[in-house]
Amino acid sequence: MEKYVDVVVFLVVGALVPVIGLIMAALIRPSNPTSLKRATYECGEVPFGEGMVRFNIRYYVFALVFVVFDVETVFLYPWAVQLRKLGMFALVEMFIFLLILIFGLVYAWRKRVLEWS
Amino acid sequence: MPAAAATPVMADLRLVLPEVILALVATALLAGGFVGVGKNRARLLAGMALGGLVVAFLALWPGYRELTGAEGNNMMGLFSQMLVADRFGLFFRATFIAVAAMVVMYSTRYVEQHNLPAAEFYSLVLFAAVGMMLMAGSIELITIYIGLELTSISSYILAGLMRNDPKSNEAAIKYFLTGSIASAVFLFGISLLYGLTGTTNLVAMWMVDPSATAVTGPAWNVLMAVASVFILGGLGFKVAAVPFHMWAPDTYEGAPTPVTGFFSVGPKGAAFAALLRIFPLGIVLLSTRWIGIMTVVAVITMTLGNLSALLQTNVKRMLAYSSIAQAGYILVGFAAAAGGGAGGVMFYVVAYAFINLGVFAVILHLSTHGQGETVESFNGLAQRSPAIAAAMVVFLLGLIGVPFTSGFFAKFYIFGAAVNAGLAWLAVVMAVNSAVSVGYYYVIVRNMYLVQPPEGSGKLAVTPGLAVTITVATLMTLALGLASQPVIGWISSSAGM
Amino acid sequence: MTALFQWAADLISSLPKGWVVLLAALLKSIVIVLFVILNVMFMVWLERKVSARIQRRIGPNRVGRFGMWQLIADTVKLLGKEDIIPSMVDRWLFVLAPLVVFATSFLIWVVMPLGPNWETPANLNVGVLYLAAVTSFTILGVFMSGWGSNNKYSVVSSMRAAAVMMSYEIPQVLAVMAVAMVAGSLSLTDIVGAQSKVWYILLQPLAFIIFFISSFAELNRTPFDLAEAESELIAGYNVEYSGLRFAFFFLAEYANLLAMSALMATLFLGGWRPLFPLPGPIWFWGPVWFVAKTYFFVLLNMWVKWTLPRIRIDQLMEFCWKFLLPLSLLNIALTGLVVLARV
Repeated sequence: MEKYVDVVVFLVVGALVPVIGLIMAALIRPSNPTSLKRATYECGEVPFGEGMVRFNIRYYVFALVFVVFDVETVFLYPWAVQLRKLGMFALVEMFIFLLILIFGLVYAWRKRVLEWS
Repeated sequence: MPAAAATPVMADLRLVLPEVILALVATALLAGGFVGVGKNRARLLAGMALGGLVVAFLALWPGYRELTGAEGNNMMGLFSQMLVADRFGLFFRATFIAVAAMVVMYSTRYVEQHNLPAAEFYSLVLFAAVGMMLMAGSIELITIYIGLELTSISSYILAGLMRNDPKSNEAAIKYFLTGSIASAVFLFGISLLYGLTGTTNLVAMWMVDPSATAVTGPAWNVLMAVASVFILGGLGFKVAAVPFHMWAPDTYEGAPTPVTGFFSVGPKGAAFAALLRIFPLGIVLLSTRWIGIMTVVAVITMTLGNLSALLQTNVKRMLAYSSIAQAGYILVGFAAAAGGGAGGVMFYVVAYAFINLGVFAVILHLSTHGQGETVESFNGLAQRSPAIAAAMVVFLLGLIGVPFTSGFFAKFYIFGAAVNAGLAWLAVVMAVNSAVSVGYYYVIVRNMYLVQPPEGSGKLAVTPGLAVTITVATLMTLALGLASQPVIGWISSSAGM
Repeated sequence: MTALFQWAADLISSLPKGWVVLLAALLKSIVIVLFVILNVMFMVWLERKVSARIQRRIGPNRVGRFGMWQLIADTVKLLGKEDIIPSMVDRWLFVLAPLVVFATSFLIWVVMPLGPNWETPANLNVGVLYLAAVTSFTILGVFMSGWGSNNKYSVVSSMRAAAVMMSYEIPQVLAVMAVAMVAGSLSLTDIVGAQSKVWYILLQPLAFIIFFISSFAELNRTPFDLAEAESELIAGYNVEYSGLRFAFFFLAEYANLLAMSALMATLFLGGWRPLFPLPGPIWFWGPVWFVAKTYFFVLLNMWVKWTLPRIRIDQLMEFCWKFLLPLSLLNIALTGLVVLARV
């Protein structure tokens, strides 16, 4: 676990840089906000409505397919590293696993999930 | 053994061949949704699914031979004990294949009429069947969980297959949200059991000495009770036991009718199989806390189910409550485990499967002729389809538990077990409940025989698939009621393992 | 002088072990952060110069020789800019987003081997998996900023960014997996160690191509910069940011470019391993080679960016799912066969 101290320290130091920068900037920058200045930018037009709108469902479908394949990679990694020791049996086994996933991809493909329009 | 020379993996594969075949056929069915075109695609896919189920049923043979041969084993661990081959598992696996086959047969016309995606429908039924078989064929909690998830996820999608019907969507969403929580609860129960005993394998769990574990004494009892409640909660959701039944009426009503029929016997039966593995046959040695819980749940479940069923006018909703009540009767078998309730549960599950599928086949028969799902749609059925009306009477008698039907023996064995276990009062509660249930089953019989059919309606033609299903269901109901000996023999040799 | 060293050594040995670990981590992180920030400043200048030359311009040439101090001047300017937080934003997301993007852009360096005797800050045995985990933080930050800004352009941009970065992460991770299969380890130090005879760009050309293409999507750079397509989305997810907050997004983008290039150099070009021997100790030349290879990829990236036009989002997604993903799976299968055939 000792090695992960580095990860935490890197994160903290990395976060400190912008914090220090912002504090420094706060000392010298001007601050006179007006309501017009703080309006949402919409190419100079008066903004209307919310920006946080319901969005095209396509994006969420991709997110679902992504989860499947991301989990797949988690399964593949231990196998990939130990392949030499595990030998032919593991290879065949993983090929079956991959085939099932590829079938899923083909299914999604043919069902036009991967298309935008 | 003939395959002694084969590698262990291959030998193990031979015994799970039915599952492998079904999974492959289910995958091929999915591909059937986008490969090739043809007018009769739906029918072709149904045939394919049915063929796969028949082959899978035949593929049970090597397992049967192993278990009954001269050197017959009691229980063989497969794939490092992740699965087992035993008489108990074989019984349920055969039942589930039969259930799936009947579901495929009685759905064909409905799928065509309602334009359901045929490839996905049949494939999901088969996947659910595989999940159910895994649940029954394992003594490893993790495998049971995987089987449960395979069944559940297929079920969620099946419930929502009518994508343009708001009720079907509601059914799917309700089932999915509550079901996923139930699965999580079940998983948490498993983790507690694992923490207490250090294993997820039920056989290894029997060997655990409660006095030699990390937690002992009162703490052990409390944690064991908590674990039991969580596991019972997770699986109790699938069998729609009170207080985990709230999803059932809405889901049963909204889901496509053949799917409703499937839910009422398939995933439910598998959950009972898993409960049997885990409770009376599993952790009974470690703790008896669950028996009291089970008794209370059984009483509330059957009473609430029956009383609510009395108020329903929608047949699917009524059958949902009826199936909750039936689950209550089955749970009595768990509470009476000491009196041999496990065998009663096994018999009840298979008897109930055929009866209830028969009832749903009759409803589907009406729906192919555009009839609604109200009790009134049964009006005058005795004149319009006399044979089917007669079959319906048999099924309803079976549900009540009248002699000469399988339902009678199912209740009889559970009654007996309850009395043996010193729970006579529970048997009385069950009998009273059965009497109450006559109230709502009778409405259907009355409408069929004593009410005139609507003006201008003639005879109703029956589709071959429905005819076969109803015939098989009727025959099985009567056969199990008149000559239950072979089945009872098999059960008594497997439930006492 | 000696006494001073002696005093320092005594001081360190007298400290509890936990403190030493913490101090060492602090020192390493400060060195790396300074290294990255200096490089990023140089890269910003470099990009302006390179793009200018590609477009037959001269680029910055007013502040200092060759415009070398331009970025310092820009930084001072940004430091003095008013900090505008629009009234409609989700304040927490808005304020945290640049921090998340900037802070996590350093995390890759924790496992990066810089030279033969230059210990990586932490040689994690899950190195490659760790990389896959920390690189996805960027998606989080970008999405926080875009959604939190409550601006129509930024929401569209962050949705696009999330979809594209997520999608291309899969072929990229699978490409790295093929490399890990050949090396038989997930640790980047081991992967560099395994490239003593031949670099993986030769053994894993497919993986390299997949990784290289995906890196443009991960970095949101042309031709895959749908998230910040200026002509339609103004600046994309950071459109509402100004002053120093904007600067941190800007710096993080280049920090990520540097990290991605360093990663490609490590995975496919043998990291610090020299192309040809040079007189002098390898502990000195190793990091030099490493930086040189990194800048090779940085320049390659800039070349591509300023040459190719942007493609549409549907083309981009279909290219990933229908071409790169099957290709990377094929690569895994082929690699598996070859690895076993050679055992």
